[in-house]
Amino acid sequence: MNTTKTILIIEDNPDSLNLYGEILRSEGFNVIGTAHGKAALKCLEETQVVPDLILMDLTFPFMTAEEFVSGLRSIQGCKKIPIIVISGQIDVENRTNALKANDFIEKPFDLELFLSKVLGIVSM
Amino acid sequence: MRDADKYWAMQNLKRSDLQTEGLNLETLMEALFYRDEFLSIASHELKTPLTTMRLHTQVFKRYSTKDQSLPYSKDNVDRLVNQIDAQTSRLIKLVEDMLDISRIRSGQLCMTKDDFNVSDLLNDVVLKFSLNQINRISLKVDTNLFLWGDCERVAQVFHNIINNALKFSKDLPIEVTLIKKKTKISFSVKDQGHGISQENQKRIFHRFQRGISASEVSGLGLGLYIAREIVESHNGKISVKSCLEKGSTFTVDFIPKELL
Repeated sequence: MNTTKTILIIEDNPDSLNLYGEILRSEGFNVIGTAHGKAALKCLEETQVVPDLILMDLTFPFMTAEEFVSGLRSIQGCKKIPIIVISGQIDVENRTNALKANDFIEKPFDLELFLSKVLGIVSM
Repeated sequence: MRDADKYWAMQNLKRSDLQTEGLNLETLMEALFYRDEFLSIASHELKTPLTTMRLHTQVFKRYSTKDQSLPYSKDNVDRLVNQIDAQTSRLIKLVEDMLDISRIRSGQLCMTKDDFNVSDLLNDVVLKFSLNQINRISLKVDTNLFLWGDCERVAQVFHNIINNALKFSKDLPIEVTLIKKKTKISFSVKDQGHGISQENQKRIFHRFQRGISASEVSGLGLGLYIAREIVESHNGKISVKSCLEKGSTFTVDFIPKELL
């Protein structure tokens, strides 16, 4: 495991955000947690960190998922960061395709599926 | 309603449904649209706590199966167990709200009425919020006010309205008051949230309706409908005054016991 890999999570449910973070940290990743797209964009612009993967919910306050991805792709160095969408919405697959995200995980999901999807992308 | 939604609703309506006297096509289509939207939101709201609980249990299982110690400190384990407990409570609340809707529709929302101190009740309700939330609440309560009613259901009304104000106004403070007026006991909650449009103010006390998009704040959109049913069964009145981008004030007026 390359411990230098960084994953940015966008999730407005604090319990879910904490849990995803705990699991990924225990696997050796650096984790940055944010509650919504606006905070994530601000974090990326201010810290100039380029994460290896973004895990994002489809719904959060202040902006839409589409606005977030558009903002993300306009930041230097962030144009090709892979994205995995995590959502319980019934149209998660269509929304993932519309966002041109790399993959999606539909709630409720297994730990093994979660880790295999994350490792599948950051190990590429 | 969007044209595509209207078309879809029409395709799903049977002509016999419309033959019932007094039923209006537009009303039926809207009802179907809101019901479907509610089911979509409800499924999303149920999936989030289920996911958290499933992941927690699988993390524990993973390490017990491998006969390894958990990669968490005792404090973290305590916190994870508390999170499972909190998610269980959230699921119970969601299910209880859905059952209340069913009870209201079938006229089985039972009230066990008695004389109770509504001032003490409101103080107790506020104390059950988290410390962070309590710190945002400015509370002004006239002491020793009494009502005739179901104290658990009235507590549910107080909780729903205060909880909404905390949710919709992010980290800003809210004002909660309970005061005695000439002919009524008035409970009000004032927030500094997004505010609710005139159009939405007319429908937020109805079933499956929300004053704000589901994408912005979680919840089933049942709380105010349940609150209205409880308030009206106490011969009270619930109302809202709101201004977009400035905030909202929800008021519940109860009739004091001595005037019933």
